[in-house]
Amino acid sequence: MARPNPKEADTLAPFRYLTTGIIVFLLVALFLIWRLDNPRIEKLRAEVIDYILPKFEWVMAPATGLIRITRDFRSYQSLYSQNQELRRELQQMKSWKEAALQLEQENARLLDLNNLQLDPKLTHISSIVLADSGSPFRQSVLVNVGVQDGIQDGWAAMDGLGLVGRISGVGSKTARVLLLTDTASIIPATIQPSGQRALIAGDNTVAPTVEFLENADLVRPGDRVETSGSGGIFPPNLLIGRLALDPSGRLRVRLAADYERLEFLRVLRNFGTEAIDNPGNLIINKSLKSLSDNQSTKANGT
Amino acid sequence: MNIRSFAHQVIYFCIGLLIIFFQILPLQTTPQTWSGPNILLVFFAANVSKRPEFTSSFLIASIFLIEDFFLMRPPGLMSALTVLGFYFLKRKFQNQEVNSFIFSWGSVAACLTIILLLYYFISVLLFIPSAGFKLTLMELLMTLALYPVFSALIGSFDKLNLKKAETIIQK
Repeated sequence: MARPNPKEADTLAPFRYLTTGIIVFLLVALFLIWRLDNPRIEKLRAEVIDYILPKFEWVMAPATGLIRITRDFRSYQSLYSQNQELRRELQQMKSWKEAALQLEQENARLLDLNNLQLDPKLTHISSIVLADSGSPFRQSVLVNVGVQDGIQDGWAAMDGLGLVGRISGVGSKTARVLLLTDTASIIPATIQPSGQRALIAGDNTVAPTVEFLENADLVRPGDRVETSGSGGIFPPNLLIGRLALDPSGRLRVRLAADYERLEFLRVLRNFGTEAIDNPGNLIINKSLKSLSDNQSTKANGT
Repeated sequence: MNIRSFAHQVIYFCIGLLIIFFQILPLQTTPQTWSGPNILLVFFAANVSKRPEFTSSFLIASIFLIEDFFLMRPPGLMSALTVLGFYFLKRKFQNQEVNSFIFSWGSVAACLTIILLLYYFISVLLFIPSAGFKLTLMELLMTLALYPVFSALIGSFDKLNLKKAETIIQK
């Protein structure tokens, strides 16, 4: 390999020095702006990802599938025992299904008796997981829905069973879901049946910790943990998981969602519940109020 | 900048994108207690040590900024440190007449250690949520251990080119 002429290298050296200096300056400036004005640069991040990721989308799914198949190859060898195990589980599931059906019918009857209306706004959008955070330092996934599908920052993402995380960063075709296990994730929750309030904070382990619990004597391992909906962050009563004690005696949440295989996520549409902060709001409907205001102004005019 | 060096840099950029692509495949969605090596970093470190003339600061800045964006790191911090570190590393390799393997491993190790530790301490100082020192240390050790592999790989490509060139000249 021919080495570059040392003289030539010398003439270019100051130029290289200068460009490197400018590049480093720009990068440090970007970092400082990010530190001071986070949302704007995070938006830029979402747009950059949105620009690059859809171009790789067509190879992403087959590549993931192939690697998973080769990984699972070992488990094919113990196919028979696995089959038996699944049969046993299926038997148990059938009895649970029967119970669930009966409960569902009972619930429907009771709702009908009470003439209760469920929140019609709470519908969901299904999405496919495209990519994860790529490093063990952060916990997040990218999904294939974005502004085009009406996704907004802060909405809840669930798998079939439980809460997985919240939307944090939306591009036009992709969105990032910050998982409950990330160190930046904090969710207000209630613990049933005692109704205790707490915060569920991720710490980069499989089970997030329970912080700021009002009274630890009233809860027991195994209790259900649900979102509380306080602060309008999430709709209330979404299942997060069950309480558990870790060996050091700390309360943690064993998550209901299957984090081993996040393939499809539901993003819940949530436009916020109307806050009722004084008794008048409950009685006088907002639309009625504006109607009466209009009439009064008309009356004054004539 | 001639066409040859430009073509090399485009190839390196594509390989870098490929590395990022394989990193973000959604295979591991549960938190890990261990950390793998930072492959992009070690790949470009090996390039800098073997081919200092084909790794411009602009190439390194662009690929590491993309990685910053995808891996949810604070944008700009890791890429700024890497550009600076690799610039000094490059100067060291260009001034050196004969590169022994131990010398290059040693200087790459020093450079990568400084980059990763500075990155960790700056993010702690500025209260950026980080996953702990243990993971960073593990990442550093794995990355340094992987350097000889990448160095040998890129070196073998080098020899391939040389042999080809020689046969062409003999013909």
